[in-house]
Amino acid sequence: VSSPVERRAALASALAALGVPADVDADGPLAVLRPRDAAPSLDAATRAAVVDAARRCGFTHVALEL
Amino acid sequence: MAAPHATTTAAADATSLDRERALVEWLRDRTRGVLVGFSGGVDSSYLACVAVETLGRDRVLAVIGRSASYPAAQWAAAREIADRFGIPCEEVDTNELADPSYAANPSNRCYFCKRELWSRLAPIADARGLTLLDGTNADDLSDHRPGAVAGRERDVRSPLAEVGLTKADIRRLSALRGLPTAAAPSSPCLASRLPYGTSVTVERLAQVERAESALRAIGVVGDLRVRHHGDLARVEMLAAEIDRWLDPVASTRLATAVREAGFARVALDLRGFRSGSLNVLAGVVAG
Repeated sequence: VSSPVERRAALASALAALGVPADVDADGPLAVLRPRDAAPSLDAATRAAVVDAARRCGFTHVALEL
Repeated sequence: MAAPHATTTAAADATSLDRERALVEWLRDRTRGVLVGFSGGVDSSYLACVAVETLGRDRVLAVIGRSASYPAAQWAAAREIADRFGIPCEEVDTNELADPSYAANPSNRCYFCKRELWSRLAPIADARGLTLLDGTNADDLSDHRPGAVAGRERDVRSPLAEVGLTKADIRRLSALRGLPTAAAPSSPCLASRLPYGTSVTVERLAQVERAESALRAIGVVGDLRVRHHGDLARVEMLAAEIDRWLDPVASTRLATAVREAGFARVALDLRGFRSGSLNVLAGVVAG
């Protein structure tokens, strides 16, 4: 995954697979998730999986927009 | 037979105390006295306290550098510690924001800030024959610390680091003295919330300070940073706190508090607080 667009798309896809449907904004290595559900369930295990997915897509930081 | 945990704790305490004895010896050699650059944080509070115990009030001066990048709550905490522990304390205004090199917020921003601070404190120390000290500890030596260069330019000594005192040592020894900083979160200046390249302005610093104060007021505890990404505030808090603030009601309170501080958008970092997070974001250090 190299270009910013590809990285955002790859992360959005990974999030969907984790059951966290969200749009992804990116600012360099920061990914900001805009959830499509009003209140996504993000327990500690899911958060860890999201962070890991973001890292694999080239993001050092991932944050959930409230 | 002592439990393994108790044995480990006792060994750590003994190591800390050994290092503190070395610090006391180090301070005793500064017969004319010392001037401590004092922020009211964990390290400089401990250093100032031990200096007063070792040299007496007449040979110690703690000096606070005040500017827009120094949070008001931190100033109040510093004054309280000085009063409570009998630390002679003065204040000087610093004006690092007027330095374009600082305001441009390069990755060595801390150098320009410390250069300004020590340029104000060195004349005071020279006039009184005091050795200039900072609160750099042994752990800091392996971190990205461009401000240390400015200290060396002014012959600032770092006795905590020189005798090997780590942050854990300092917290442990602070607790033995009843210093309120023993368990306090670390407290870098407000400019550390702005990504490198985002210019440092009074308005942005105030925005961050308002947001963090608002989050404290609604009950966020422990390490906390509101990182400034333009119209977006990215909130970093202890990982153990995140669950509580992702609750729908709590997250609404959190977002409202930050928006009222002047940010249009609010996001909660899912990894939680990381010291030097913006260094990672900028690629200055590895994530």
